[in-house]
Amino acid sequence: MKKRVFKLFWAWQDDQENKWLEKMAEEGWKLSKYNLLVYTFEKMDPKKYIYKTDFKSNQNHDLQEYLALFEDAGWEHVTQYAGWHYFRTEPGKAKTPDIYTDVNSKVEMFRRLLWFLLMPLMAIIIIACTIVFNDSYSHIKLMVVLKITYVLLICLLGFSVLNILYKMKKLKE
Amino acid sequence: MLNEKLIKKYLPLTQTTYYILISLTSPLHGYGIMQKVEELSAGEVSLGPGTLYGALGKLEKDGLIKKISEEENERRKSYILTEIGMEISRREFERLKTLVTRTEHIFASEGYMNEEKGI
Repeated sequence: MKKRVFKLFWAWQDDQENKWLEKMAEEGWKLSKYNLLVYTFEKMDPKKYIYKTDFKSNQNHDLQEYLALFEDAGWEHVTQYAGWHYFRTEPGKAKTPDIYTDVNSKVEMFRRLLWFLLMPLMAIIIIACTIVFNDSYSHIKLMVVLKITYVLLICLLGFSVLNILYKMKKLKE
Repeated sequence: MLNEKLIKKYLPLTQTTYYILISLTSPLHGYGIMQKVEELSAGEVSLGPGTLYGALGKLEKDGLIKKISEEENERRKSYILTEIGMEISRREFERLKTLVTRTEHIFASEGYMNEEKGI
């Protein structure tokens, strides 16, 4: 039996997301796939799992080596989406209780994510300045829709960048 | 020189980086590094796979270690220290040794060393 759950966790809420996945496992639901806000679970006997998510970036030329490293250390790869990888293990089975064993490397993960978000943010701002908010194109119908979309996108990405910066600051403390 | 710049950037090494570099005086793949670092540090340093993956990527990019891959599609790639990696590790070793040698007498003469050990 399968079930799909629609749920929103922001990138900086990885701890909450992992806790929720662990609670689902205790209720007998095993994560099998994640795809844009939709979590797919399969029915299983209730079990204690530890979930961790890693942001690797979307460059996957060394994916096999990456997966082998986690596998050797006792982590099962569950699913991946947009550079994010979901891993799980059973208590005591992995070599370390977390996939990150010091604060610096965890901060480094969020720094990778930040760069990943800054590229589209810059691109969107450039397009917005040169085309969308350029008065010489204002005769085009629906430009107002584009304007609203771009403002929303910039706000969303800006909001994410600020929250990730805040999360990095909190981790360092 | 570029190398001097790189050396300056890395020194002093963090404990984790030092152990990772030292473990690679002979070729090891990822999991082998985890085990070797644990052994060298007498169990004090356990590396999670996320932490190690990030560290290896950075060290390889900066040229302190390199991949030795006979086969392209091998899942477990082995790494080894490069000349510059060895130089940086050696300088860190010298740095720590000098530090200890120069300040040893303070702890020895004041008897702090014994106190701490509870003798």
